[in-house]
Amino acid sequence: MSQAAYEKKIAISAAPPAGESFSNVPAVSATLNHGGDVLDDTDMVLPSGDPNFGFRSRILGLRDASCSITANYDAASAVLTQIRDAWKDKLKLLVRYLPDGTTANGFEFEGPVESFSITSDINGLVTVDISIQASSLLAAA
Amino acid sequence: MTNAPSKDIKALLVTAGLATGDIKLGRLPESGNDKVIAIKDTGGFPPNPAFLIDNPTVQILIRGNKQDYSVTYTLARLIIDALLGLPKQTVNGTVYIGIWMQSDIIPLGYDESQRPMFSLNFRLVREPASGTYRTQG
Repeated sequence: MSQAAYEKKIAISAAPPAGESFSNVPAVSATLNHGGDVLDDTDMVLPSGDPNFGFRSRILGLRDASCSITANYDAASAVLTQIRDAWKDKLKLLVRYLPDGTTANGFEFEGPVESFSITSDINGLVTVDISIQASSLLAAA
Repeated sequence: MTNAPSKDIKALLVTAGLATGDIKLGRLPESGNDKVIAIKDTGGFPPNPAFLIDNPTVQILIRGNKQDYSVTYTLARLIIDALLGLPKQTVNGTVYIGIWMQSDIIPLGYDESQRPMFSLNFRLVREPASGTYRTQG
């Protein structure tokens, strides 16, 4: 089982209380990161006969998510302008990452725009790298 | 329908006033005029499967009159000036985002009839007006 990446869709909307209205981001590539802190809870006083003696133990702490997007930049793009305005105005966005283009199999979170980096190598196209960090749970779309 | 890149490049050369001699598409004829510009589609890089962005390449062969190296070279330079760094514009209904070169002028020497030849290789990025599955990025 596989999935062609060209079917993916990344959509954003203003976060509540504004009404939801999702627009697709013209993403050339995108990554949805499921992450979190891993905490060391090793018991240093385990008896030497314990099977875990001498090994580290870890638990999962706070979970986290983020989405990074690379898109071709176009100053006339309404959705890219919306993302940049969210960064400028410190507003949160709703982000949908839809691996097969459908909400049925997608993920959604809310968060601020961490960065909006425009890059322009003279031998290529102008691109923009966007990072949005979660400030909510990562849920099904 | 989107044209072959070579046809649109020819249109740009005509607009630039460089169509003073023959401009051929697809091949460089052996016979006929000595001075010829031939524009060949050479494939290119994979088009974007999600968005209407194509990355074709073209080769422009310039053949001059017998022993006329300098004038032929100058024509190659004029073609570069007409294409390289082209601002975003629509040509025959297709939006050309930009034109780059893959190398500088390549001298090919002289053919058997002592006609100098040069090669120019361009990389194009263009947006076809429509597609079946792909959308405007």
